[in-house]
Amino acid sequence: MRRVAAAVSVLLLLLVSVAVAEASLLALVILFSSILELRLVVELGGRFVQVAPATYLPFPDVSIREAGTAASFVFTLACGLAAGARRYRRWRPAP
Amino acid sequence: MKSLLRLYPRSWRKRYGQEMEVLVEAMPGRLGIALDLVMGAAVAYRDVIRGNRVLAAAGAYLHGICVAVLVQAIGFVSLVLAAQQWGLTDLRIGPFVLATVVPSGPFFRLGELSQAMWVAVFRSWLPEGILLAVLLVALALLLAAPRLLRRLG
Repeated sequence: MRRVAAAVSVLLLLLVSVAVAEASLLALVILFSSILELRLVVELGGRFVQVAPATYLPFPDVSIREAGTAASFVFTLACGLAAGARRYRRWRPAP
Repeated sequence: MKSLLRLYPRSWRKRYGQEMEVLVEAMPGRLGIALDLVMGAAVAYRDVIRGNRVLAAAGAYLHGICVAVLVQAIGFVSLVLAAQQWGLTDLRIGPFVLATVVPSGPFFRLGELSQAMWVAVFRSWLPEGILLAVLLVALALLLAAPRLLRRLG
């Protein structure tokens, strides 16, 4: 039972950390799109979030498709797991 | 100043807390000493994390996630730059379209530009260039952070 609880805790921690990381990335991308004067669309789950300036001018359009959003989640999680696994394997106790 | 000792890990405070309190009480309340105490707390946490396999892996996991976020931010700015330069519209992996960029105006190939247009194009790329430079510096610092932390204390 303790192992199951530990496994669920680890899974929740992984998901929460990836969610926070993706939220930070979204904030960064929105900031960049306002600095670079872009019209940004992020698609997820059949819906999209659009960030555009109030006035209509010919700004460049950047659309992050659903596949791109999903790939971003997977890439972030994969990088974290790869780094964690590498450290776990290479860990040695301090002399 | 004594309240800064709460920043230290519990195991460290159990072992050295009382001695440290006496020492800190005898010291003047200067900013340099406060900074020393904060750095000492960071070093103490670093030692606790490095001494535990699971904690070390968790720290590396979080570090890896931060690197991934920065790399993707760099990728986003590079995508916008590439779209301006080469008129890139779709970023694909196989049948999957990850992103679409539609430039607003005509794109220029560098070889076709006159000198005056070079200046105009350089100015239009300046925000992206500065952003990219800042992100690359941040990524370099983040990648160097574990080594820098090892050199502390």
